[in-house]
Amino acid sequence: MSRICSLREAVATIRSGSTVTFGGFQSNRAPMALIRELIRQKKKRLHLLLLPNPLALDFLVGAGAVRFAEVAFAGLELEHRSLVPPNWQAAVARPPRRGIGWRERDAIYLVEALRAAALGAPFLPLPIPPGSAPQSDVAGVRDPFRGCVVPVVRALEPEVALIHAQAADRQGNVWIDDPVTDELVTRASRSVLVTTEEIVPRLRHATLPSVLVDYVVHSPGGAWPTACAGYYGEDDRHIGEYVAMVRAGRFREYLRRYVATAECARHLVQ
Amino acid sequence: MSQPSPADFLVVAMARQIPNGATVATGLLSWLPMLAIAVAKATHAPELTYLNCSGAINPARLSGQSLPPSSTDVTLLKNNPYCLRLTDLWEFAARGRIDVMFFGFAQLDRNGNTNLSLLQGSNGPSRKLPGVAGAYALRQLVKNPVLFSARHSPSSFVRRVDTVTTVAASNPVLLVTELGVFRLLGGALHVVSLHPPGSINEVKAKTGFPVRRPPRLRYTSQLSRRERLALDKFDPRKIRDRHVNL
Repeated sequence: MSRICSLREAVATIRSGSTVTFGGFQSNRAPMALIRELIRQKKKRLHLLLLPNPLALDFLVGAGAVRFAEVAFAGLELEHRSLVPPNWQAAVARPPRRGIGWRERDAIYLVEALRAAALGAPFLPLPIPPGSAPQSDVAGVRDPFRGCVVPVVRALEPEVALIHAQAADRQGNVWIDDPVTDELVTRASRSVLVTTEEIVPRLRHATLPSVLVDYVVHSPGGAWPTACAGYYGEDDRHIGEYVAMVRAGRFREYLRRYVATAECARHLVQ
Repeated sequence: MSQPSPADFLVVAMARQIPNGATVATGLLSWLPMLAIAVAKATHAPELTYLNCSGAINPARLSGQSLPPSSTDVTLLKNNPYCLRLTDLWEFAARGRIDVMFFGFAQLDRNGNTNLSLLQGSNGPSRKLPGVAGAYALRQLVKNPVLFSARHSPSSFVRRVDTVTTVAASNPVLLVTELGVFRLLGGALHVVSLHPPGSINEVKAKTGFPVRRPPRLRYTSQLSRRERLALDKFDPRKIRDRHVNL
């Protein structure tokens, strides 16, 4: 049963050290309000399981909240240039003892590991040839029906999924217009926190049923500076300013200006 | 009319790899492939189906106006009847439903391995690249993977990639660059066609592994009027030119 609460209350349920994953995709609907609140509440040692969501990663890495990041991709497409987000770029360049732990592999491994968790299955086979993958924790098992060896990936169950949605209703059902990753991470995770542009009395159609949603927070502009389809576009100018400030060693100043209180980003939305 | 630029030939040569009626997909950082698909749809392949990894199918945004600034721009999702799930790409590909997909890279070696992950500085520090995304598996699964590069240079076309991110799935590997169309076979780059007025010596000078020329050198056929018009319609500011040798 989900409950409607404040941003502070919802994020307070997350322990430091948790394994966290995210809804949204790339620069669409990253759960940035939740991420800013994670930073304000000084959560540490997070273990991120990341489908492409570069800004979420970069904010948390810059804030020193991350111990380990499993990624498939972290790149921004800004003014026709591709760039690696600056805090992430710096963190992976540092020697492992001073930096963070990380692993990059094809998103199919994380997707199938999350799918296994969603099914309550211990592992799932992958539809690709075994052996050639440039990563480690995939095993080969013998297909009991055809005898050939297939690669399998072990289930990964995140403790928390953070999602920003277009709408939710008072029962906690959630509507997402563009659910590229959101159903998968919701079904795989133990606890699901959703911020939403709007709360309505009752949705006619829902993407996520309330039975899978733990907390709903009314948070207009909660994806800013990424986009929220139907509400606002990506704020390229702000993301450009962010990149420039981090590269100039002014990330702390960025946090003071745009993250320090829940109100300081609100007037910028739209 | 001015001579087409190397970027014009790159985009049009990519577009020509898409047969009419094909299903074609793009991943992340795929602005040039998106432009090529828009050009193909406006010219020889009006019945193609385009799957964009941000969730859009045949985005309405791709007809009749200039392209958005990013290949995952939220405006691509306008009037989108079905939002693709991330899992759909692998499922569709594994079931033979994706005919063509374009794959970029920072480095390519003679065996068809690509690096999208990490560049090792020879003495200095290494440099992180955006990463594999879904390219490793999708390159194995789609029917016709097409590699593309807007930087045909010795630092991109190397004997050995610094990190193996994706491996060749087909033999030969099809490759389109701003210099020509090529097949990678038996550890060498074979010229299919050079974009005019290119020379084989330029390709050799810019490739860090063996280049083989066919007995009769072919040139990429000139841009049709419709191809030129489509390029200018979807990319009136010639942003494509900025992608070449960035």
